[in-house]
Formats: sequence, structure tokens, C-alpha cells
Amino acid sequence: MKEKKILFVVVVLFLSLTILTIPFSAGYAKSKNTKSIKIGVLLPLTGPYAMWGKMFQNSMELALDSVGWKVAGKKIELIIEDEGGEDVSMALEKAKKLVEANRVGLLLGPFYGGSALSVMPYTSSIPIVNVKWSQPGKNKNEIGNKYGFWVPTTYPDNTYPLGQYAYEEKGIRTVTTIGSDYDCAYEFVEGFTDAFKSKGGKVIQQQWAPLTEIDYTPYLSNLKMADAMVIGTLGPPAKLALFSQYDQLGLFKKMPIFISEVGTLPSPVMQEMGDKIIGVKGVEKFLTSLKNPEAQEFLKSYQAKYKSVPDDKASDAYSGMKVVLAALKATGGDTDPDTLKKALLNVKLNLPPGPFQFSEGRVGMVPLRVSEVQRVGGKLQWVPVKEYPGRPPYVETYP
Amino acid sequence: MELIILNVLNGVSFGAILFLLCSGLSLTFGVMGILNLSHGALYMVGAYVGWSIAVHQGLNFWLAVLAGGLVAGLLGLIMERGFFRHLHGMINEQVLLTFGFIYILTNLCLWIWGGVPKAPYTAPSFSGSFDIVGDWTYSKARLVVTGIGIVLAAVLWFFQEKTRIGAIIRAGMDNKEMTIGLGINYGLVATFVFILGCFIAGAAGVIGASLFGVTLDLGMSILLLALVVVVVGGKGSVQGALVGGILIGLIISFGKALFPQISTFLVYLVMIVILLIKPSGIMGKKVQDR
Repeated sequence: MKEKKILFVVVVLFLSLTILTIPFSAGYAKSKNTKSIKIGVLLPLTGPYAMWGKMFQNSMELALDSVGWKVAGKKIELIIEDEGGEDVSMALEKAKKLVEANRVGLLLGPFYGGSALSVMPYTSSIPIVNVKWSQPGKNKNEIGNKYGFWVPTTYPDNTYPLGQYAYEEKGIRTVTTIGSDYDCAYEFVEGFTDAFKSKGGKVIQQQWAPLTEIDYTPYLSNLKMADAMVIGTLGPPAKLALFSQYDQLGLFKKMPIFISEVGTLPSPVMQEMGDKIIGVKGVEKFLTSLKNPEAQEFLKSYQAKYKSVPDDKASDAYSGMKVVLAALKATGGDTDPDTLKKALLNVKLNLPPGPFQFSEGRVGMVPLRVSEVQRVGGKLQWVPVKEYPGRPPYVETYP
Repeated sequence: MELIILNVLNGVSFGAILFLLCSGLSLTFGVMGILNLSHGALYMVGAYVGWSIAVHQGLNFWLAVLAGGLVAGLLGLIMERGFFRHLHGMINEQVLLTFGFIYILTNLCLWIWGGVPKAPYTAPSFSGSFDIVGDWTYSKARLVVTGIGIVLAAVLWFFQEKTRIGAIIRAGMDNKEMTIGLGINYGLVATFVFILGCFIAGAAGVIGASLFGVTLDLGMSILLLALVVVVVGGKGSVQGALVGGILIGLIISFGKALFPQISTFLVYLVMIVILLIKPSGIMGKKVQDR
């Protein structure tokens, strides 16, 4: 009898403790009845992508400044963590820390694709909205995360208009491609070639170099001459080396260049490279030369506060925060994932790159601009030459 | 034919950069038994210092080479006097420490020069290209790099083989205790060699920037190839660094042009074959354990 009593007390204690700890062990927090909204952010503050980390932080804070760091009467608390660089496990640890220790209501980032893959199983396993300002792959890498949102469109969708433009507007009929041996570079090139081939164009050669390649001369020495060269290398260092070596071999005079990411040629680097890059074409959402009021306002306030010029990726971080704020306003500050997801899908905003809304597959749709490097007012800059309206990804996927 | 000529020239110029980087690494490894993994980071620091002098300040390119070398040499002095002298023969500690230096130097560069990479730069007289074969042109800077590599190889060979300090270095590599027993301050000579190695790495960074520009991951990306060159050429040997550098440069160049999918693998395949046939490297001497 005594043993039964002890057993009963133990069971009651165990059940009581279990019930008491449920709110603390859920691993995520809802902000419905709280006075503040905690937003966790993963940014590359160290490592090879560190050049963007601070810019992203600036852009997000600028968006928060515009609402006085408050939405729906609730204070916004931004908790920023460094996602690191090539050690992608760091992003996962920081994501867990933000969700489980800081108990953030929603998560922004990470930026780097490798970090995103590292975080993927975790963010897919918990009910928390995760908004990213980095581009997704065509399968969005996180197909299992039904609360995942991407502010920019997919890699291949970004370059699709460039392939159309090359064929239709510039009369290009054959291309040779060179890209980084990495999944998002494949997709950048694929977007161009899919559009180009759909019009009747021919891809006569494709070369892939290691991600960390700095000497492209051997690849260029084996180049098959075509009407144009498509570059799908990643990051500014690769483009710098490739452009310089392309010039040294006298190839600028022979084949025009189309590149996947305008944003990876920052203005200071363009000025250093000089007139040889005039005429290079690329595609991007946001350009400093845009005249719409939202772009002008973003540029003006960013330059006034930080004394530097934001790029396309910075505009994505700004847009991402603006979209989140609009959705939080609609939910009254509630971060319940289903409520917030519904609100995010209903957001329609005019942002620096133009009119924005999410596709059914939760990928941002904004206009894309095919642009060309030109010297304007003594400075080299990207000038838009044709605009393509925002549309759902041509390879849309739904979880 | 164009493919062969271009890739021979590419391979030799890339090999020259590898030689400039590895000569110092090989000497410090051979003479002092110190595996300085931060050698690539010193190359990067030199390149950034050179950019400040040659591009930002618009001063003479050779002054930039000298400044890059001096700053790297000074960092080498701090590293050697502050840390490495206490870690002789402690290979695990050396690896950890020098790996830590890579992060410290990379973040210092990020702090000073920011994250935006710098475009390739060189002396105005070396910029541009000249016609070489068919419709192809070739970079003047690459030829200059090759020339500098050859000249430095000759100077270092003379230094190691024909001077008293060189004789002490060779003697120390063969038998350190006997050399010290003869009343020679071997520690001082070793420190000098270490600083010289770091100086060459820093100067090489400025010279190499004419081909690859400057980025924050330069220190790490070039380190692995530098180690391969030391293994293939043989540690402690200037001639080994030259032969290893040119051989690896040519394999990389032809590999990328003809077999891009396996070009990286080819480099390591050659290293494995050489390790199996001649573990001390092509020109390496068997060095006593320290």
C-alpha cells in the first residue's frame, strides 16, 4: 500500500512537472500577448561574406527606424547573431540559440547558402516563420519548411530575363558559359540558358571552376568562341580575377559578357576595374540609378545615416524587414506561424526595387532589370536598359 | 598550339607566384622545423599593404612591394620572438597557433581594409597586354611575375649555397647540435631566416596582386597549394620550391584547360606519387628530427 502511495506521488509529480515545463520547452515563442516582439537575425559578420553583414544590419535597422522600432503598439527587439562564414555549423548553433534561448518570435536569415542548408533541418522541424533575404535555389533548398519565405526570387528566375534579352534584343545566337562549380552558380547559368535555348539559342560550351578559383586564365585559354560569354561565378573575388584575366587575354574585344549578379560588382570595385568593363550586362532588382520614390528614399536615408551606398542585397534586407513589419502590423504583432504566414502572403508593398508580393510558393516577386555598365557623370555604374515585370518563379514549387 | 603556349606561360607564371610564396615557407620549415600555416595570411597582409601604397596613395609600385615585405617581416619578427621560439619541435602547438594567426590576421585586414575585395593592381608600365599568338594577347604583369620569380630564385640560391649564412643554414639543417657546438648563434640565424621568409611572402603578395587582386580569403585559399609545393619540391630547398612551384603551376594550368573536372585531383595525385617515390620531395634533403 505504501509503495502504491509513493508511486502515485511520483507519477503526479512527474505529470505536474511535465505540464509546468511545456511552455518553456516548446522551443519557440509567440508574441500575441507580449509587450515586445523579438526578431532573431543571422548575419555574416565574419568570414568571406562579411562585406555584406554590416550592410544588411544597417538596412534592417533603417527599416525599423522608419516605424520607430514599434509595430502594432509593440516594441521590436532585434537580436543579431553572426552566422559565420565557411563553417556552416555556426549558423545552426546560432539559430538554435535565437529560438531556444532568446525565444525569438520569428527568424530572419541566414544569408549564405551553405549556412541555409545547415539550418534547414532545424527550421523545418519547428513552427517558426523564417524570412530570408538571400536567394533560394529552384527547389528552394528548404522544401520542408512550410513557414519559409524568400524575399528575392530563385537563382534561375533571376537570370531568365537576361537570356531572353540576349537573344531578343542583342541578337546573340551562341554562348559559352563559365561558372563556379556550385549549385547556385549552376542555377544562375541554367536560368539564362533555359530562356536562351527556349528562343532558339545554342550553348556551345560550359566550363565549371572550383568555388575558390582565382586563376581563370587556363579556362579562358580553352574557350570556344561564341557570340557572348555568360559568367556564373560567385562573389566579387571570382569576378574580379576573371574580368582582369579576360582583359589580359584581349577577350573583351571578342565576346561581350553577361553576368549573373550585378550586386557582386560593388561600386568601388567597378571604379578600380576601369573602362574595360563598360558594356558588361547583368540583371538585378535594385539599382542605385532607379528613380521610383521608394528607391530614392532608401538611398537617401541610407547614405545620410551610414555615409555609404547600399547595393541590391542590402535592398533585399531592407525589403525583407519592411515586408515583415507590414505582416506584423496586419497580425497585431502576433507571431503565431500560421497567422503570420497568412499575413505575409497577403502583403503588397511598393519597395525600393518596385511593387512587391510573394508568390504562392512564398518567393518574392519584383521587377528585374537588365542593366549595362556605363560611365555616368564620371563614374562607372549599372544603368537599366530593359525592365521585366515580377512574376512567379518559372519553376515554382510548393511544400 | 595556342592552347599549349598560353598554358605553358600561365603555368610558369602561376608557378613563379607559388615559388615566391613557398621559398620562405620551405626555408622556415626546413631550417627551423616550424610549419607556419599563417604564411599565406602574411602574403595577404602584404597584398593589402601594397594596395594602400600603390593604389590608395598612388605611390611607386616597388615601394609597395618593399612596404608589403617589411610589414610581413615585422609581423614575422613578432611571431617568432613572441611565440615560435617557445614552440620548437611542438608541431601540434605550431599548427594550432599558426592557424589562429590566420584568423587574427584576416580579421585585422577586415577591420583595416574592409570586406570589399581589391581589384588587381600593378605598376603602370606592367599593366596591359601584348600580342602573343594568333588573336591572343598576354598579360605583361604575368611575364614580370615570372621574371621576378627567376631572379629571386637565383638570389636565394646564391644566398643559400655561396654565402656564410647560407652555409650555416645548410649545416644547421644537417646537424643543428654540431652547428651550435661550433659556437655559431644558430638561433639568431634561424630568426633571420624566418623574418626573411615572411618578408618574401609579404612582397610576393604585392607582386601576386597584379594577377589575382586582394581578398580576405587569399591567405587560406593559397595556403593549401603552398603546402603541396613544399611537399613536392622538398622542404628547406630553394631549388625544390622553384621546381615544385613550376611543376604544380603547369599541372594546374594544363589540368584546368584540358581536364577541368579532375584538375584539383591531379595536383594531389602528383603529390601522392612523389611522396611514395621520394618522401623528402624532388630536391629535398633528409633532415634530422628536431
